[in-house]
Amino acid sequence: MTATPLGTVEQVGRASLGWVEYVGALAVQFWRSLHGIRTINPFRLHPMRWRRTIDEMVAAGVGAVPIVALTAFCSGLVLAFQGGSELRKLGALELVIPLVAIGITREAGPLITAITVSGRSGSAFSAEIGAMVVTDEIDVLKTMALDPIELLVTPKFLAMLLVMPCLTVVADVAGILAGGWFVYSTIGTSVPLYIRAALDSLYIRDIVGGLIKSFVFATLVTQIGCLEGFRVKRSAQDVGRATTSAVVRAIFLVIVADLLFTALFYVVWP
Amino acid sequence: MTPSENVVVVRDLVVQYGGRTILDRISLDIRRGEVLVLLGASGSGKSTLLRHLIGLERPLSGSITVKGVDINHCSESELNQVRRFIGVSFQNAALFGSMTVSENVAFPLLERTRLPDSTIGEIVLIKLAQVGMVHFGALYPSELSGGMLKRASIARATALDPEILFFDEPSAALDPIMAAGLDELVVYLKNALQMTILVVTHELQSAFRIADRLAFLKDQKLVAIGPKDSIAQSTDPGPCAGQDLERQGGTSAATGRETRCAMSKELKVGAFVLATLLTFLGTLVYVDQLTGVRVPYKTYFNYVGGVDPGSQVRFGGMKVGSITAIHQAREDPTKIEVLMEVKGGVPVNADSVATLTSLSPLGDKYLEISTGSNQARRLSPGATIPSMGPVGLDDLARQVSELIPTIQSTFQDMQKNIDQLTGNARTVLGNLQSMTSPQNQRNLTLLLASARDLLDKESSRIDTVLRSFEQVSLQASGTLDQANRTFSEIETTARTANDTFANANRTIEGMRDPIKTDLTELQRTMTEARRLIEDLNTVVSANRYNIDDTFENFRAASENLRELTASVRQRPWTLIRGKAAPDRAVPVVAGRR
Repeated sequence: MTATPLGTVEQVGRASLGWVEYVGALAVQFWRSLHGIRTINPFRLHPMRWRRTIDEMVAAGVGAVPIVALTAFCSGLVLAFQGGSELRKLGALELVIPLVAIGITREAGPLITAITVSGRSGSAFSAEIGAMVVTDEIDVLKTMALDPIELLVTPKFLAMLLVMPCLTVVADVAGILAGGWFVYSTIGTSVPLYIRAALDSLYIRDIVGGLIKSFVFATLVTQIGCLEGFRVKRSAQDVGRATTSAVVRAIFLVIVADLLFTALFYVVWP
Repeated sequence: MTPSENVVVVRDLVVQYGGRTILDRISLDIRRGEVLVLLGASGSGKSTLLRHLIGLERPLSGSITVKGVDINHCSESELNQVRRFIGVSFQNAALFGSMTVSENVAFPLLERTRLPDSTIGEIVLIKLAQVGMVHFGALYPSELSGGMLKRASIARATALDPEILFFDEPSAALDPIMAAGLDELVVYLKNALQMTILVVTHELQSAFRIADRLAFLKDQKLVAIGPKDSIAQSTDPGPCAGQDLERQGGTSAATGRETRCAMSKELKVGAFVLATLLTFLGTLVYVDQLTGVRVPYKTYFNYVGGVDPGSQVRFGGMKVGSITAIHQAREDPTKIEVLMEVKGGVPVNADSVATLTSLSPLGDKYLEISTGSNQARRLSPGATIPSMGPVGLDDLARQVSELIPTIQSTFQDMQKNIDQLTGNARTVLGNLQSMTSPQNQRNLTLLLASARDLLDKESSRIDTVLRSFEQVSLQASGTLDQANRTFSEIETTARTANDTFANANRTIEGMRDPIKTDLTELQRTMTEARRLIEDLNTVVSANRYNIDDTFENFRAASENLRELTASVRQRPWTLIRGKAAPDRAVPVVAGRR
């Protein structure tokens, strides 16, 4: 059947429907979890959702600081080496400083944070929710007249929205310090001078652009992770599939969103 | 509150999953305060019916009314209102694995009520006591046995004191003693707490032990419902007999129909998506081909070998149009006029330069218009684009001949300056010569001679003086010696003067020779300088072609530099720093070590 042209058309149709449905589900879940933020009240009698949010922030944020910093440091160093090997030919090795500073704050920092967090927390979200689907715990929540999205997704979403920009800043600092190390060991620029030069080459729009990206990435990673969890179909195999799919789809959509926002900033901030 | 009041009313419930019928026109009532047991073989749809009764899924048709609310056609908030009266214990307990048993029981209280902590703790203890789990509150679900999990799940289901309790397979996978204990618990809950209870099970013994009424589900249909006594006496063949075969037949037929139906839908969507894409691409091509405005431009070349009318015109490497005509220019017959048409919107500007190039030595030649700059004025349609053809020999010769006069005049200036310099030196020399001329020498000897004359004249006078002194000595012989001495002194003085003159004469004679040699030295230097200038002249005339080449190289280098500037302006990312903001300062860093 797939060999016929009609079969190909059908496959295209199936794939299109699948994507439309997926994006629709993502949008609905995003809206409902965003709407649910109002129920997170740290001052109510039993602030359970607030406590869950704090727990998620600790797990997804504080726990991710070392790996995010290390990854960003390494990529900052890679950026410095790659840029340096070309700039050295022009005798302009000190241009590595703005190269690293701008490259990290605008692009590499948010992207590396999103990819690391997607691997750490996005997969955890989908596995957690997927396991709850398999053991009927989601149904239990529904029969208690509790919205699973409000109860499970919203704390994670809020936590990620708060934590991702912080991790991005950590990644920015680590990456720029890596550039400083490179410059110190090659042309002997002192670290305070390097920091001054890096700050001089940065504009507030670079940092704000990176942070806007990090908010978008936080949304994508959380929503995709949770949605993949909810789409588990009552089997343990599905949980594994959902985890894989959560990471792959999150990274793909993060990079697509990165492209869109970079293009947007290119137009908005020439 | 009459015993026959119906809390749950199900009418003509039809459930299909993907075209497969799971429940077929089920009608069922659950009365207040009774225990209704739903019996059926596994796969007969018991659990599905339960999931519909608690509103987890929505049926294809039919209605389910719980406490007067149609939960299939109500809003989410109304459904949640109804769920406040419902407690559910799932088949596999479904306790939250991340919480202890106590926390599991307390969870609905914390989320749904605003009771203080102490009250919640008491309620949890009461609920755990009801199911005999008081001592296991601090354990996690993974540490509990199957029966304990079921009990804990019942405690959680009853935490909010629901009116209706649903049990899915309470005794599944339990040993008979455990199962009996759970049966007792169900009866206790009914009697003590006045709950309405629906139990879904496939165990006949347990069903008869707890039920007020029984309902049999078979072949997706409700085949019998009534008090347990009447069901026990019924002659129905039982829930399990001969249903597998029928269901399989029906299933495969239904699946086939469903598949065909779904395929056609996907076919439609796929065709729609592909058609939209094709239309979009087609529109792009069509718009590009037909509705694009063509703007004419022209340019002049000395030589247009390799291009014809119809050859490509590229702007910054992108194909934007074609050459329409090539013919001799009317104003200047040595030039060839090239007319072209370029798509509208292409920013041909005053800095653009037309060249003839090809992608490879073997590739077709085409007309390349450089992108110029964004700041430059846009050329109006029909304007002439400055061209940079291959450099012709005539052009080269003309440029060189334009250069030669300026070089010549430069050298003439230089020679004039050097001549002036030699003239000055010559006057200095003349002055020196005139200073040491024979006239002056003669004057000096005359001076010497007159001095000697003077001495001669004076000696006569001195003789007179002598004579008068003799006369005086005659008068005063005492002063004679003195006079004599004076005389001799005067004589020595005269001799000394004589020597002095001779010395002066010798000195002048001695001075003449060094001055003479200096002058001849100067003359030789002058002649050498003149020869040097002549050599320079010959070198310049010999190297004229080299200089011309150098000038040509300069011109080529400046062309290259301009091209580089233009390309950098167009593609600034070639300078590592992508998209440098014009206001972005390059940091100043201390020089390298």
